[in-house]
Amino acid sequence: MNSRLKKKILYAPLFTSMVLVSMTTAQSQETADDLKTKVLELEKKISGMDLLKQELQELKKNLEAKEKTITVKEDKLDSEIKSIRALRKAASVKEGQSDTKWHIAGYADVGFEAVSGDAKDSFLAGKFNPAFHFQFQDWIMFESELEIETSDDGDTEIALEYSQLNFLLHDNATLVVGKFLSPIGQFQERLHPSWINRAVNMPAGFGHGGVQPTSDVGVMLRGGLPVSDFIFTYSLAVGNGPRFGHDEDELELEGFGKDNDGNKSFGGRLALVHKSSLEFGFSYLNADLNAEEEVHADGDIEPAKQADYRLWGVDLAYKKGPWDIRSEYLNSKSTPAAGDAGHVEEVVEAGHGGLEPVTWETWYGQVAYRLSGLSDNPTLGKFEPVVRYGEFRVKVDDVLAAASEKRWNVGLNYWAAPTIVIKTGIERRNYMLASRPDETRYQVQMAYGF
Amino acid sequence: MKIVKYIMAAALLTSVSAGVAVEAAEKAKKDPMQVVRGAKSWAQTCGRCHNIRSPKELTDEEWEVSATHMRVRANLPGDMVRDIIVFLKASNNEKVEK
Repeated sequence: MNSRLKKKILYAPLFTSMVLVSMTTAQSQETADDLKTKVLELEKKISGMDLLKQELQELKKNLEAKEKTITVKEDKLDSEIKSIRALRKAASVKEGQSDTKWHIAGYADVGFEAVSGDAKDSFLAGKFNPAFHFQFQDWIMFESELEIETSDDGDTEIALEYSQLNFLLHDNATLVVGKFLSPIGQFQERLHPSWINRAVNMPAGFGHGGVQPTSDVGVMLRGGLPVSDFIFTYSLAVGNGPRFGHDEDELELEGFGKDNDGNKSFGGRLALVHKSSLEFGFSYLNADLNAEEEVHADGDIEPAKQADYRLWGVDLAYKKGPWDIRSEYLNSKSTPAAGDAGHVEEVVEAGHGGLEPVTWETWYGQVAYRLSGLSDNPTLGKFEPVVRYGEFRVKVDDVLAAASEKRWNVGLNYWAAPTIVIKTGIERRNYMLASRPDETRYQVQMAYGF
Repeated sequence: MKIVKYIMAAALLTSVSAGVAVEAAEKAKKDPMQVVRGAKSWAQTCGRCHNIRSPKELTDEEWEVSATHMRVRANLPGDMVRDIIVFLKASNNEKVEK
């Protein structure tokens, strides 16, 4: 090889490597720029990530702080929930196991009455009879009812209808102690409240001056006993008993707080109630009447007097569906008896009132029919016609007294609710003595039982 | 003095019988047929003197007291009255759940 070729061969790789180096250098120059750019970008990103990291840390701190707050609040809430649950539990236990339970019941009425003859038409203030019931556990109950009314003169009159303790001795026996409504018959004890009574007034012979005793003070054993298709009921009472009244044909048949003679009255009612809602009852009362010698203001001396008093009666009731049918008969007699004043004959001859034999007799029959038995019309079904007829006879030594009468009641009731009634009625009183003029009364009454 | 003896005897009878009454009431709590019997007795006995009142008229506790009052006044047997109370309470609760 010649030297030039050798040179060429020698320089060729050198040249090639130089070219390559130059090329590589050029490429390296570009890569470095890129890298710089990328490094800058990366640095920016890293810086951003640091910021993000800081933000995240701050967020984490905030979150942790909030978690702590929430945990505290949750603990507090749990505590409050537990406290509320404990209170609720205590309250429910108290409600379920309360030893004393109570209830206020009663009734009230208002009305208007127009009377034939010389009597004036009048609005009637009516009565307000609140009744209080307090029960301790399942074995004792105290109950009392007041009767509050406005007199004809505008005075407010308050009377204690009854005030009694009931000892629930057994499912079939209750001992009643205190002042109680007379168990004689069915009207006085169960039907006289104005929201239960189908007519505006009581039947003739009931109420003041009538045959029916209103109340007594003493002890009564009562209850009901299922026997086959019947419930046998009994009410047997011992009490202070009645007293002589101011007039010879009237007795004070109400409970007295003290016995004036130490002689107790004995009586009560026995009844059978069939499952068909037919009820039949028998009543009896036995008492002694005594009054001490009394000196009147005018100096007249009224000697001591004494009489035997007997009452008996029967009652019937049928209440089924729209029908309400009732009837009652009462008969009582006061027979003069020998007391400290001497023999009966001597006392009678002295001519003082209250010593003649006196008999009282009354009865009534009543039918009421709710029109819901005839029609599905809801308004018509609330009406209830009622008819009652009764007689009352008082005889003093077989001579008819002025209070004797025959009484018709015809009425139409509207039941706004089961315990709210508007009653309209016509009451015709035919007095048996011709000397006393008859009366016709036109009545409206609204009664509410609560 | 006789009266005093009678009263003492009545008081003794009262204290013994009170326990019997409470025991009977406990037994009645476990009878599932009470509501059925109570509904029947409620319909038959409450309407004997007055219109039947709706169960919603009074609260459960008031019904307990009111029914005890009527147990005495109408001479209703104690087990019958407990049935009626259970029925009235059940009727009241139905009203609440609606």
